[in-house]
Amino acid sequence: MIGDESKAERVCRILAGVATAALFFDLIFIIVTGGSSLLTPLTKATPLAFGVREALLAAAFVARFRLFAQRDRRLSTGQLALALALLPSLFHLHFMGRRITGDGPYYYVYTRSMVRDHDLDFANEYEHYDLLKRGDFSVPTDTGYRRSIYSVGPGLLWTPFFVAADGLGAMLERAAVDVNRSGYGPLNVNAVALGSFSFGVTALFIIHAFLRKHFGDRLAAGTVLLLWWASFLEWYMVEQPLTSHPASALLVSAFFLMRQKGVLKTSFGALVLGLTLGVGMSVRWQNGVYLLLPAVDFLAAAYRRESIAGILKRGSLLSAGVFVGIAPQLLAWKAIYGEYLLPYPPHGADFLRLDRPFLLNTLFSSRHGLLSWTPVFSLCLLGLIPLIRRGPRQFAILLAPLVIMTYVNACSGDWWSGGAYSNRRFDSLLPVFALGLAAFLSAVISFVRRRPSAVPVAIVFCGALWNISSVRALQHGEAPSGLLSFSARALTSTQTFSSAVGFPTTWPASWIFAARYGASPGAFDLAAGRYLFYRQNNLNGLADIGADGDEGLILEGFTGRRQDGAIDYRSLAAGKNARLIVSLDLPETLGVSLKARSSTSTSVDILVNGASAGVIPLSPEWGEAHVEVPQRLWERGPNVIALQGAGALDLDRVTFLRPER
Amino acid sequence: MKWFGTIPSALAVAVLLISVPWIDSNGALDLPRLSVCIVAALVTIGLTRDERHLVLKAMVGALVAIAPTMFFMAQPSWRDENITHILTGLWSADGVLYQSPLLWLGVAGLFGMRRERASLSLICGVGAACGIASLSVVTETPSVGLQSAAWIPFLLPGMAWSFRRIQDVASRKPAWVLTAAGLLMALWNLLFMEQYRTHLIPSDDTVSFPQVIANSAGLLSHNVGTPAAWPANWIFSMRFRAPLDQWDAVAGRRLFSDPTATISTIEVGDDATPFAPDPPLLLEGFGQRRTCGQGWCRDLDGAGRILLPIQNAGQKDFIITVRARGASTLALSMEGAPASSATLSDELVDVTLRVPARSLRPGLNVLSLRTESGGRATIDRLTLTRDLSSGSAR
Repeated sequence: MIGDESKAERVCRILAGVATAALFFDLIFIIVTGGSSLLTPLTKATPLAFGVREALLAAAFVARFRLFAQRDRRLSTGQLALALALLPSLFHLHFMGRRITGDGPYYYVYTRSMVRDHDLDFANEYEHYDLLKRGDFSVPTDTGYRRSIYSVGPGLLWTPFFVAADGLGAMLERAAVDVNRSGYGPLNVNAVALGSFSFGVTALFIIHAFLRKHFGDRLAAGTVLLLWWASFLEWYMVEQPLTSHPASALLVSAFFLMRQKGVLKTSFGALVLGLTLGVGMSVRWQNGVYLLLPAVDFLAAAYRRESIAGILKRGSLLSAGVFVGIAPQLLAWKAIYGEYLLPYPPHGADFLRLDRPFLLNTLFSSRHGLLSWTPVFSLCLLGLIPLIRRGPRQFAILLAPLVIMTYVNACSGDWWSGGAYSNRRFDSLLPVFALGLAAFLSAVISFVRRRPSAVPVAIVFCGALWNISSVRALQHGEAPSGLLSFSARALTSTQTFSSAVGFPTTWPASWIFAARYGASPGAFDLAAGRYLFYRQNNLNGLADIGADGDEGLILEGFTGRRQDGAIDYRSLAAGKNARLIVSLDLPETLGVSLKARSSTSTSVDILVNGASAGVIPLSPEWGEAHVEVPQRLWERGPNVIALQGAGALDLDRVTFLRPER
Repeated sequence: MKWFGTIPSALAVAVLLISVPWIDSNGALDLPRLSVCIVAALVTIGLTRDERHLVLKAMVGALVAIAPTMFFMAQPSWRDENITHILTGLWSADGVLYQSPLLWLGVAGLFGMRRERASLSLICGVGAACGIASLSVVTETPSVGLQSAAWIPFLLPGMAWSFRRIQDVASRKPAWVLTAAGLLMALWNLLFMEQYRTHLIPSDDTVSFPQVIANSAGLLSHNVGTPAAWPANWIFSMRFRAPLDQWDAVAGRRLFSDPTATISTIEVGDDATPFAPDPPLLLEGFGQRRTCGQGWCRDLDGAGRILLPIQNAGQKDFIITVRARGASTLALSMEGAPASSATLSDELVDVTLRVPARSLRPGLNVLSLRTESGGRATIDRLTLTRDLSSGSAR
């Protein structure tokens, strides 16, 4: 008997522990094998069977770690909540999560090539994924390898999972199970995905441990759950796990927790902290910004008159750790490009343009804007204010990485992070955001306690919004009278609201846009971030009026879509002016060609950003004519093209022609 | 008038103001509705001043709550009484609780305060219950707005009680408030992820946030039903084996444009907007809209069902004409009517089904279409004809 614990309790704990372990490993086995179960080997696990296992696991886990656990070893409420919250994510990972998609294959090739081929020549992997014919991969680099713009860290950290899957594959093969052991098969890919998922989960527990000191167990857990489910983290843990984001979140969180625990005060701690940060830099290069924090810590130590020799020793060990941690990346670059350190990012010399930040777009654009897509981060930023007020010495320094990383992300060539869910490049800031969010929630709790009547007032406000927006949509003709589906009602009500004041998560960028271009704040959504020529998914110089998605090109003045045979167009009423908006990355001389017709007017004046750019002749039949618009009339970013004509006009398309290069 | 404190009472009145539409469809002040509501509100205040003569007060309340319905019943025009109309009156897209979900707080409050203020709960509860029960009576013209104006004020004390309770909970357990708000934020993210995953929005381009909200609403409505229509949409889905989201645009719909209209036409596939009238009526078996000749149609693959919301089917036969083309035989059937069929050709032809008006129930009816041996038919239009000539009034 241990203390006052009864034998029955011990037996229950052991049984619950065995059940927890059995169910947990069975779920892992199901995910890795793609459905086969150790407990029910004859049938594949259906969603229901998976759900039942999860429910049993939850019960066994609660019994083992809470009900029958020894008092001093019980999981806290927050830890228990986080552990249980894993279960729906595991379900998502197994049944809905994708694997080789987006950036996934480009990171995964590192793992496979390192384990199977013991090199970083991705030619065979690219061949397998049918990427070798792609322009940038078809030509070998100076070292004879194929290029990669991706970091080596994630692939390196996934290797244990890959190797474990190989071991499992060998065992299954011995048991006469047909297994794809090429390294491309589901066993390896699922194991790596699960491994990446586990990085994300560990990061969440570390953030929880990090926040507990400042905000207590439950508030810390609530913060972590909100950050997990209301941000892009869930997406990159379960939907696209084969990316660098879970690993980056893990290493940065570990760095923050270690720093908080004061490991920098010991030599070994400094080495480990440096190593963590170094590996973090191998995962996402921008994590190097966090070197700033130990640097400040050492300066503070010197200010406190600690031993200079000790500071230098720890600083050296930290640097050594960083160097060891980042060495895999340097070696990878050496192998692929022949240089240990690249003079500019492998994406290209113009990828990072520190003189051209797209700050408002990065945060508020509908193209993966951080705050517009995942508004929980707005709360994180707001929370930093009370946080820094509460402990300026402790927390003000966090503004530095926040500002630097935000600026760097805003200066990236594709500030919208390519095909991303929200702006995923902010993953390195998750611990900083977590602190802000916890402080925000703490402040709100105090506020609600002081002013509880604010809650029913907020509820009535939401109810009023639901009613009034719907009535306004009817009054403005945005919604037809009669019954609407929930979706149609939501569309018309939100459109009416957004046209009037902009969509809330785009504030204040949509207001600035509206003020600058004399447009509805609602126009910001589709117009800001869509380019004529710049990078992927651009308009290719064509503003196709009347086609699907042309709303983002029109500021005002046009009718609804019309059709003339195969031609979709919009019209401009006589005596009215119409304005289009198109975005450029670089002002340059462009030919502007209009395909239009008019039965009442012989020409239309073209104004670019308010300045006359020329006159285009019109005829009653569809015809195309163009004017040359000099570089000086164009601006970087959105440009407004006004059409001024005395008569009515039908417009099919506006083509922007770049000079021959 | 301070039932449970100034702020809760003021908020309850605010909910009343936003819940009763004061403006009619022409943008003019709806004086009858306004008057009924003011009278009912004054009566509610008067009846709840003290706790004497409870039974008498409850009866007066009930009378006030059902007064507009009694007025309609006294009219010679067509009407129908059925308990299922309550579902439509409360939870259709035009329904009282759908339009103003906050009124739920009034209902919950009347129930919740039954121990604390039994007499108040009784008087208002009887008024509200009678008013809600009166929604089982429908007329040819929409009447729920006026009917409801007479009983919504009885929910005022209940709403005030609920608001006070929320206030109490917020001061004692502020974390609960945060949990609720956090769940909403997580729901936003979950629905956003789902539409990104299923390519409802482009993966790498600008998106319209109203469209994002609409997609989220559509996903929510399709998977768990529109919350403001719970539980009616669940009942509808089980009863008609229909998707949950179809309830919103079909419940309470009137296919005939006015009480005297005898013909209603449903163009199939013509409208491509989110407000198209035909998709909410189509249950299963129909394809995407596609061109057919000069117009637009939808294909029927083997067998399909169409919902027909009909209030007054008239007195004689109700005629359903389906304009279609194809290479097989199209059979139409409806509960309570002998099936009818016709051979289709490359040209559009009419297939007609006559249904005795008495066998159609006011509300939703299901028309079944089936092609011979699972062949394909292209459906262009449905025409519904009712006969009001021989005095259809009850």
